[in-house]
Amino acid sequence: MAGHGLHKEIRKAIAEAEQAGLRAVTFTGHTWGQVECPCGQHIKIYSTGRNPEFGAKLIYGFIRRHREHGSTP
Amino acid sequence: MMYEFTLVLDREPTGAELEALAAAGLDPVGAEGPRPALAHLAIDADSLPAAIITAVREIEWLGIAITGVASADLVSLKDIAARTRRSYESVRKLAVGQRGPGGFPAPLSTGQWALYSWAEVSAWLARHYPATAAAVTSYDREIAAADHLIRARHILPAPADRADLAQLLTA
Repeated sequence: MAGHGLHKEIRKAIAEAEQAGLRAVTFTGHTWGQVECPCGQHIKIYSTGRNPEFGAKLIYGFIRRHREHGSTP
Repeated sequence: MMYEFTLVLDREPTGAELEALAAAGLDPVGAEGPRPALAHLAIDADSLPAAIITAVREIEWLGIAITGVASADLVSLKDIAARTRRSYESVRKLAVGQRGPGGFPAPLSTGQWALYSWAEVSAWLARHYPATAAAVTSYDREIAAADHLIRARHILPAPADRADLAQLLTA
């Protein structure tokens, strides 16, 4: 997926999510995108530049909880 | 100070509702769904309770109920083994009193799956096995307690009932 304009910590987290077999989708507007698990759960991260580290931490937490559901990329 | 926490909601906010929250100055960093529906927040406030109250008021104003504060406090014996790097069997024996000084915290749940409070278990470990006890910060304890309070608030919708029960906190 495209990662243009995203904070590097968010880009790293997205890359790890994709490696874990989760799907990353970008949006336009207030929400930069979401990470989706095959189990149906998703996490949306908003394009707030104030706290990108917290956003990345949330993605890592989502990966930890859903890694076992991820399909092989 | 910036307080980071996650609220459990009864449903996912819509895009329009998220815009309304942002307009009110409450900008969630992330939202998770559909079940559980979670709002991940970072709020600048004087205290954790003040930050949670701000978020609860703004979100419930939209007609979304807050049912809890997400916490990693509820743990199984397997979780405790992983967090303390002990074997499952060693932790199980501590829990049933076959090993160690006894007095292991009682599980919060009954039935087939026993779940424990990590805040309680880690405090017990810190007393008896300081080398293996993983640190639980006061922030973790406050989050775990806030979760119980928000759940109680959700169970008791009438303000009078809530006020009555609130006396238990300072009894």
